[in-house]
Amino acid sequence: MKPILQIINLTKYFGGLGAVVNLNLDVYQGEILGLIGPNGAGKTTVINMIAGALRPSGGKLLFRGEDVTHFPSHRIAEKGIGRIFQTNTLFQHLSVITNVRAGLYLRGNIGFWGDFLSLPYVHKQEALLYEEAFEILKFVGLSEQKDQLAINLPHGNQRALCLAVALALKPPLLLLDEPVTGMNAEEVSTMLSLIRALRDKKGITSIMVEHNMRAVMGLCDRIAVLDYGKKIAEGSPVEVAGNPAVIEAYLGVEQDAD
Amino acid sequence: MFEITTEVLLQSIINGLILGWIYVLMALGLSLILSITNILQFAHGEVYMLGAYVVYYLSVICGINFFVAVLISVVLMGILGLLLERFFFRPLRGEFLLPMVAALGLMIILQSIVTVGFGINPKSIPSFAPESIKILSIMIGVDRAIAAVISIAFTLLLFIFLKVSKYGLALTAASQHREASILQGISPNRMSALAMAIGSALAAVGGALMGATLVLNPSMGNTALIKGLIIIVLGGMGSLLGGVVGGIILGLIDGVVLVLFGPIAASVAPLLLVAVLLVIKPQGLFGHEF
Amino acid sequence: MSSKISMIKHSSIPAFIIFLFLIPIFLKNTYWLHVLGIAGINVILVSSLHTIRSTGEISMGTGGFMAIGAYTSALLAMKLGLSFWLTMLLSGVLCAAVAVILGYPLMRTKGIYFSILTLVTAEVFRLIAWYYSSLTGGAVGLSGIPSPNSIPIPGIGTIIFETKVDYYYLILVITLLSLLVLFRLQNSQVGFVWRNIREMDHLAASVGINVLRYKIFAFAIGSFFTGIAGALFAHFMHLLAADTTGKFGMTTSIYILIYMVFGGEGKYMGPVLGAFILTVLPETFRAMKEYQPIIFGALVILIVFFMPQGIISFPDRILSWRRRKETSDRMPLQSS
Repeated sequence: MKPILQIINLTKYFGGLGAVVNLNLDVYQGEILGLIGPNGAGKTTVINMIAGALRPSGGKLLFRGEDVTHFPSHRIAEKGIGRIFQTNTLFQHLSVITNVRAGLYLRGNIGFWGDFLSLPYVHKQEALLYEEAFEILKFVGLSEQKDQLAINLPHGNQRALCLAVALALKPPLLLLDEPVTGMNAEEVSTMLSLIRALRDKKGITSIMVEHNMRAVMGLCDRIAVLDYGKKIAEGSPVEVAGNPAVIEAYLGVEQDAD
Repeated sequence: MFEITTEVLLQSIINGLILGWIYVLMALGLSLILSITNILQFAHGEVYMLGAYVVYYLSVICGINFFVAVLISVVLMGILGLLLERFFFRPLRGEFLLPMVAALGLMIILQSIVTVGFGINPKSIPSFAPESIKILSIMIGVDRAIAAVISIAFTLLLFIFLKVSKYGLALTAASQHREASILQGISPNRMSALAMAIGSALAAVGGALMGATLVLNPSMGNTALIKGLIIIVLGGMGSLLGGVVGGIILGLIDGVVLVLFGPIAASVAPLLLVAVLLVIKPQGLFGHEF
Repeated sequence: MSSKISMIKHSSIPAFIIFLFLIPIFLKNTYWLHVLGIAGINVILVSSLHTIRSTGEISMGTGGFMAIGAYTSALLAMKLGLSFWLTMLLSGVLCAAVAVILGYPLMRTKGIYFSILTLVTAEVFRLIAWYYSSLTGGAVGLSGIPSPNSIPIPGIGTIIFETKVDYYYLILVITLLSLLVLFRLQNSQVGFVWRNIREMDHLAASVGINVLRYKIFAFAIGSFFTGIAGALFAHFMHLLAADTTGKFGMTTSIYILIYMVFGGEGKYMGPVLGAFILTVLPETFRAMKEYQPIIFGALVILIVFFMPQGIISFPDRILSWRRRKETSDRMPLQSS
């Protein structure tokens, strides 16, 4: 089975510092792949390169066989790769549902002149889009709060909203950068079951960067471990947990047992 | 069109480079202020202009020795920089557009105060060294040469200060990594004040030298500001070496292109160069990656 | 309470527009009609700047594009004998084209670089106009720029542009049309995307928005209308000489930016109000001559410090002050 994403010799140098060095990793359709490693291992850098936010210094990225290595962010989104950011990146002063509507940009399909002249078909289109946004909100459990301002939501709900916005793309591949960081136990479990539902109900593949070990071990089908920009282990959660190199990399590092 | 001999070319290169150093001082001051306070100090050209007029007033009207007048002007402008930081820019910290517009308002006020006080006509400060010397068949005004030397000296002084002194190192750190330097306990207020004081002092030197070698008028700050900004973009923000290299490039352009291709080309050339540079290297020649 | 306010707002705008059309009936003073004409041109300029600003960018290139617009329209009319209506449009299109060409390299950079670079371009265009004297007349400039061509209306008569009143209506109509287009854009999906880019450009990119293209579009539209304003200026003044064109660079860019912030960039009408007030008000203390800029600068600084959201925020501030007063009156015993 061909992988949905192939990371081939991916490298990123910042000045003289190798943040990611010759990373080779395949991501398979329908799996949840965990990307873990100590702080500074280069995990977010990998995500940023896949998402088109950072230019790789070397290597290749193949998404469904297509070379997307140097694609800018908006083209990556067009191809079907969605992402959430480490911090709560939302349109804070817009309502919850308008945030998701913003995420529906690519599927909006509203012609410029129709929009500018405020033609009736545009209003119908808008109504349909808002309906679709509402469906997405129902899926992530935020339908009650649809008219609240994003900025007023508690942290856990904001995270869920970030996910909703990314889902608006209907992306076959999702990049999740620390989806449960800063959440309490209840919020974590809600988010995790959401990600699981994405895989089971919608067939979405996810790459998840996380520090919360229990979340990673419990949720991911496979895990890749980075240390100092290099992959030091890859395999099932059990395999990785028992890997001596992995244990050594984490030795002495305080872990937040959420 | 007279024949352009190599002598004429060399002459204009030298002239351009000498004048360019004065603008380097502007660029360095602006760059320092911009990278530390994140404010585009639009009134910086006016500080330069005031620096020149203070020297004019002291040396021509009060009869004080030129170099003493320059020293006084530098100190006064440094103090002005501190006052501006404390009462003008610090209350607006965190905003981007507001301090810029406040500085624009200040720019208008200062230009018109000087116009009211001294008149709109250009003035000049009698040169402190009116002779010219001939080196290899090129005429160099001694005062201009000395002006260049003084500018280079101040640039070196700044360089040494930034590399050696405790405050200088702190400034360098603050300009490259604002958050990190705050975490290290470096007071942002003090850094901003220092940047404003040093930047304004450098502008005063530039203004004084320009007034002495050329002319002064109330709008001289506008040209200096633009040239300083061009140098910053050419060389990259926050980089001293970049400021120097940018200044040299600008000086060369002003000299060579002006003579060979005329004033239109000389005006357009820096912009064209910058546009091309930005496509290739968005951070400028030496600047940091944003 | 708020529906009453929106009712006032909705009925007052058409009423206000009608009022604007009626002004020349009781205002006959040609000097003030001239000032109002300039105010209209400034309103177009500031709204163009505001459009660019809605993507988060601060353009300091207004003066340069105004120069391009003014000289292009004047020269096309004088050298090629084209009609004003055509030359005005062509000026706008040329400015938009220049904006697109400049936008690609310039808008990739960090915001402040864009501001610095557009400032440099404004000065470069001014200097080109200054030095290219064979084309633009240099310091002497262009004089005798023709009036807009008359518009024959079959059955009624011909609209000719001769008196200050004619020009007042010309500028009024073009200003209203420009505002209509620009405001409509702001309210459309394009405006929505622009605001999203301004707030979180990496989030916008991650949902598929081509940020650079949208920014360049805003820059191009803004520059188009700036060019229109420049053309209007040239055919209104009939003269482009050193004392006016000397301002076609940094100076104009600075003043238009000041108008925008003074009026308040939070609402569409803010910059319009700022441009209007700051064009008309200085004329009232024109008698102060050289002290006028000092007062102007002081006014700007006062607003920046004491009403940073601009003049347009004044009613809201009164309302919230009154609301605060009401609640504190109603609850005298409050634990802090």
